[in-house]
Formats: sequence, C-alpha cells, structure tokens
Amino acid sequence: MNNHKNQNIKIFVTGPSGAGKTTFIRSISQSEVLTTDVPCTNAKGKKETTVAMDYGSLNLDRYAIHLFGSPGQDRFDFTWDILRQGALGVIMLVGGHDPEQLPVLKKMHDKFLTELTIPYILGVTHQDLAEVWTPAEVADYLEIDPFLCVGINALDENSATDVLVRLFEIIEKEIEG
Amino acid sequence: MLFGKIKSIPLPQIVRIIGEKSGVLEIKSPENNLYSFRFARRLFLGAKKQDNPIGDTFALKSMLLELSQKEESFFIFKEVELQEDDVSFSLPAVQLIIASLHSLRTMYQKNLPIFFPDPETVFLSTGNDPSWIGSEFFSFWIEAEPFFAKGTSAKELAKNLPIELEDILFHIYTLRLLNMIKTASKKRTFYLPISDQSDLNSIESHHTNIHLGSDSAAIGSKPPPLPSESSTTAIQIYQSDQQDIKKGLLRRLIYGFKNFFRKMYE
Repeated sequence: MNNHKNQNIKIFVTGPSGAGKTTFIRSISQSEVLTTDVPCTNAKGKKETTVAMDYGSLNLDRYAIHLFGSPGQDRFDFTWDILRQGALGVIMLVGGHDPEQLPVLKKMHDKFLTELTIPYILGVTHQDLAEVWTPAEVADYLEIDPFLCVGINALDENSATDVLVRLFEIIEKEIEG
Repeated sequence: MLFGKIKSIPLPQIVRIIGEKSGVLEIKSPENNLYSFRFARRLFLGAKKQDNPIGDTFALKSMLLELSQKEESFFIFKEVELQEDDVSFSLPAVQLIIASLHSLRTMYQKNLPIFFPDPETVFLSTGNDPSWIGSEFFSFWIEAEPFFAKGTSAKELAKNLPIELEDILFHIYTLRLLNMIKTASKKRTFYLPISDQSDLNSIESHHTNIHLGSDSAAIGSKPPPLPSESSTTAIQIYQSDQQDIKKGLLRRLIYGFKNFFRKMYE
C-alpha cells in the first residue's frame, strides 16, 4: 500500500544575491514557480530580487521533490533557518562571473558548515561565460573538496538537473561512508 | 580564471588560492599602474611595479603597503610555466601572505569585516607547527590554541580571552589563511523521505550518525534540527539491511532523474 504514496523530498537552495537561485528553480521546476521577487536597482543591473522565498517542485515516479529558494541578501538571513528545516540536502549557488559574491558565499558556507547536519553541493553558475571562476577555483577559495563544486548554467534544464543529481550522489557517498 | 577586485579578495587570500599553481598575478590599480607577482609551486619568485623589478624586501613591503591602499585594483592570475632564471626572491609563498597581512591590517581595516567569519562559526586547530607564523599572530595563537584544539568560535573566544571580538575575528581570518585552523563541521544526519507514521514504525528504531572522514570533527551538542510539519519526516541512517534499502532508494532517484529528463527534453 505504502508504495503508492508520494514520498516528499525537500531541497533548500541558497546563495548570495545574483547567484541564480530563482533562475535555477524556474529551470528545473515542473510546477508553476512561486516567487516573491520585487523590483530592485543595483550597480550590476539586477532588476528584481527575492525577498521571502521561491518555491518549485518536480515529480519523479512516486517522489515529489520540493525546491525552496532563499533570498540572497543577508538582511533576510533570518528566513534561511526556517526554510532549510526538514531539507534532505542543500544546493548553494554562487555566480562564477562575479567574484564580489565570494566573501558573502564564504561567510554563508562556513556558518552552514558549523550548523548544518545535512549534505550540500555548491553550484558555480554562469559557466557559459568566458570570464568566470571555475568550480575548482571556487573549491580552492572555500578550501573544500572539488567534488562538492559543480559548474552550472542555471538557464539550462540539463545543467540544473546535473546539480541535483550530484547532490543525490553526494548523499549516497556520505551514507556509504 | 582567477580574477576580481582586491577589495573582494585581498592579496593574501589570492596567494593562498594560487597555491601549487605557477604563473603571474597581475594587479592593475585605478591609476593604471601595473604590479605583478610571479609564483611557482608555492614559491614566490619575484615582483615588478610597471616594468621595474622589486629588488629587496623593503621595496616589496613598500609595494604591498601601496597596494593595500588601492582596494579598487583589479587582479588577474595567468597560469604559465616560468623560467627559473627569472628569480629575485624564491621565498615560500606563505611569507608573502604574512607580509601582506600586516599591510592589510594597517591600511585596509575599514573593509576587513566583510572577510571575517561569522562569530558563531566553529574552527579547529589543524595541528600545524606555529613557529613560523610571526610574533603578532603567535601571541594570539598561544592564548587561543587550547580552545581551537577542541573547536571554538570567535564568540566563545571573546567570552574567555581579554580581546575584543573584532580583533579575534581578524586573527581567525589570518590563522585560517596561514593554515593553522580550519572550519569544523558537524556530524551529519540524513533525513530521508517517508510518507507517514506507519512507514516509520516498520523500521528499526536504532540509528547511527555518520562521521564524515577524519578531518570532520564533531562539535557542539545541539541536536540536528527537526523537520518542519511537512510530510518530509526525519529518519536517520539505519544499520545493516535497512541501510541497503536507503541506498537503493537513492540509486533509483539518481537513475530516475537521468531517465526522466532524457525523456522530457530529448
């Protein structure tokens, strides 16, 4: 009987402002994406920013995967603790084209590493551009295993899917010890 | 490609990232002055300002101080094999990190907090020899080392040492660049999806936490966060045959993803 019930998996998507979290969820979600974007103006030409959360979902067989995206600006960091509760894993994203995101990412990553009890993966976005930090360079910057870093073009469904697949591979690898 | 502004990634941090790589680090100031540093496999080989080679450590320190005032400067690291005859210093790159940290502290103080870790992030000693890190950092190390040995945060150190939190954060930033401490991570617990309570009842109640490798340390005693009221229910890792079931589930998920998206987008 239980085999016919839906299994719910929650994934938390986070990262600095401008990393591509909303784009990632839009690329991968089958359901209509719930966003809380508002107009903003900044020096980098970003037109909208998330102020509460993004939500999207996809279904695989009997598994429902729910993606919860956080706001990137640290003034909304109180939402991160709430949104990540109950998550199976975390996807952190950072814009490889914009090194100014790296100090924010590092602070966020270190804090999560101290508090986190669930596996994570780091997606380095904008890999379609010529001038971009590679996943290996970001891994060096954060002093983490390069296996945890993967390049991504958040606009591309296949690329976004690869990140999710790698996260599940990491979960499996960690289970195997 | 390593690039950016030194206000986002200061020189000592760039040198740390360069690590084993060989090549030339070029820094262009807003006034279009070009500074370059040459590295090969953790050795600092030499530096130039415009086309003028820097010949001694006094000139090098002066150049580092000058650069630390030009936070809008843009850097790019070009990975190339260098000729061994073009060497004026041949110092361990870590010595350049120490020298540039002093300049950073003096001239760059107002912007440093953006690089500081969160006060609650926990760090552990790496066990490396501290004798070479320099007297300023060494005196802090002597006081803080017993705390780092078991894992501590800046907030905890501020409670136990007669040092301001901001100074502690600076020292943590430097000790980390000098590879004396590293971020500690918690024991990992996995939450696997399950649909309702009856599923939970069918599984053995005993569980174990997974300790991630030798360099991950168990810290703190706070239990892992409980899941929210969503239908994602917390289960932890089960021993023996139950664990095989979980592995199978994850394999199916991975397989499912690949096939699902192939069908959907091809």
